[in-house]
Amino acid sequence: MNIRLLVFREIRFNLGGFTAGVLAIFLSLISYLIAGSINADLRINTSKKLQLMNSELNEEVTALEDGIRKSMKGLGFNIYIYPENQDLSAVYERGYGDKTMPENYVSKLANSKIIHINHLLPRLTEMVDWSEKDRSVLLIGVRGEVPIAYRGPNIKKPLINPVKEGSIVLGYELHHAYGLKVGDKVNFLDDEYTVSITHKRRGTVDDISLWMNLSLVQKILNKEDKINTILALECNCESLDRLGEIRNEIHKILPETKIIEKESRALARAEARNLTKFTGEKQIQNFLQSKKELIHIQSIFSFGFVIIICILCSFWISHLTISNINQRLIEIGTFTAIGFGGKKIMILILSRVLLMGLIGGMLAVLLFVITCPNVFGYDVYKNVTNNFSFIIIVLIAPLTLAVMSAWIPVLRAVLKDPVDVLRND
Amino acid sequence: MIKESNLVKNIKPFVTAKKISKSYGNNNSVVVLNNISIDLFREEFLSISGPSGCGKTTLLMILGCLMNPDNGEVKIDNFNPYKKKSSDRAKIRSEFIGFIFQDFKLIPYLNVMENIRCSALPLGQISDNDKLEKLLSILKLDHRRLHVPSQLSAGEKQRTAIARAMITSPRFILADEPTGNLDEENTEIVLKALRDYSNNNGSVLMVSHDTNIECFTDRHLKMSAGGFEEK
Repeated sequence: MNIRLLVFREIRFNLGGFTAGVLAIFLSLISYLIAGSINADLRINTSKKLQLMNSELNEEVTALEDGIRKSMKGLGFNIYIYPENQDLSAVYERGYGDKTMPENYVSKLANSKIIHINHLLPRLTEMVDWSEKDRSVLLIGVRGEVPIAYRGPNIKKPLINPVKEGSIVLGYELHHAYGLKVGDKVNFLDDEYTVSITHKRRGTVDDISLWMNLSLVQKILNKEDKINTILALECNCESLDRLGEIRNEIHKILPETKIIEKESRALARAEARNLTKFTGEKQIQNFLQSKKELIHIQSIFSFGFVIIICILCSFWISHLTISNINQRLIEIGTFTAIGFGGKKIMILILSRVLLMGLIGGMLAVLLFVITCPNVFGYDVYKNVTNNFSFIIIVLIAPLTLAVMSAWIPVLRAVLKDPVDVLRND
Repeated sequence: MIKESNLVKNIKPFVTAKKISKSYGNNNSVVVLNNISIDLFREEFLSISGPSGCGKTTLLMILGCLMNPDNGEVKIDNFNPYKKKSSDRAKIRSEFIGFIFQDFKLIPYLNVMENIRCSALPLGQISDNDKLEKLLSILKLDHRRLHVPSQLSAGEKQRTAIARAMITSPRFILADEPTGNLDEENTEIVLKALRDYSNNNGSVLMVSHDTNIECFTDRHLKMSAGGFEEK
């Protein structure tokens, strides 16, 4: 004969009330576990979707990058080298630079071991008045292509042929307006030149440009041994930061220069790639943000629901305990009369409540373990169970809920004067 | 009338209540016990009779360490239980006192044997099987040992309650109308059991409204309106 036997006998005697209490605990814990599983399911699905989106974006960006590399490899791209003190806004406004640099800069580059540049074209450009024709023209002094020394003689056809002294090359507007043809003589700033080439309409500033030998232009403009730009053509660089790489290489040779890129198809593709990456990342961020909000709202609602269930179950257990204690008042009075102290009576009642919590909790966990992997999948089950707080809650919450719900009624029973019961009955 | 043997052997009473008073209600307006004194000697079977509401049960509760008197002093084996903590009083009850109630107050989910044994629980004892068997036999409960209270007659229930009070061999038994719900035959069994208990080193204080019980007891007190008139 011991307290344990008393507890079990009483449970058997009042099995209905005990079962109802077990059910309350079971409902509380199972609702928590279901809510946790639903939230974990949403988190895991979001994470999988994000991984998929990231992977798709990476594939897309990689494909674009490959395209850029291919186009850069095939096409190359062009850059302008200006003096360091050149204000670039003036360049973009006028179309040429107003500052000059020594012509030997081009020689330095040509004699270097530069690897990313294939063609070097020094130029001296300035807008001048063609007094004989009473109009402005863009005078461009060119020297032709400067070969890069370490690569040996250029076996390919040069990109641009030099303009011979005494010759002049005219853009479309210039020869068309005055009816000039190749071989015609024309006066330009008090000297006579032979038209060597007439260009077709290009629809650019080239149409009002006039090309002459560089040294001649230097004399005309009083800028001997000076140029204002070096055009570097068919630059090859497969990295995405090609301009940065070329800048580094050129600045090692010509530190006092400024380099800008002339627009190219490769640049457009790089921009498209950047835009795709940016848009994709933005979409992923938006998706993540909306999912985060959804998870947050769902967490609040689901755990709010769990809290309501727990509160209702707590009242339920409390009510059941009060009913149980009211039924057992005579028993409690009798136990007090035969020498049970308050602690023993409390143990007697609380043991019943603890068993209620234990069995309810175990049943909930058992149902969860059996059904969760089938309903939500093993990932969700693992996510919920591989969690320290899960173990703590599963172990402690049912017992705590049961004891807390029953605490006040039990305390009232223990503090009740047994004489009231023994006398009144 | 106090037996001569008791007077010789137990000149000092085992339980003493001196000038105790108890009132109930708002402002203690209902006086139940008024300055009464009583002694219970070892091996004495003392009965108290009186009309309902005269304070018999209240007196039992006070002597049973369950209710603090408003005034006066109670001594059990020369110490005042009301000067001790509640947990100590519980211990005194389990060691010194056995209770029998008119309505039996058996634990409904325990069978006869378990009901009897449960009073040994507070002492942390496992009840003596021989003693249990003896009590079952004396009180004619052998055939009912595995029955729960709902399966017992009133007499069987009261006999079970008596066995429960006796199993731990308390120094004295407080019986509150133990024969109130019993027929003649069962009344005789119960009184005989209590008589035997008082003859074997125990004391019994029984209260009843039945005045015919005095022929079974060593001493009988009549109670009315909170006081005694000794016979």
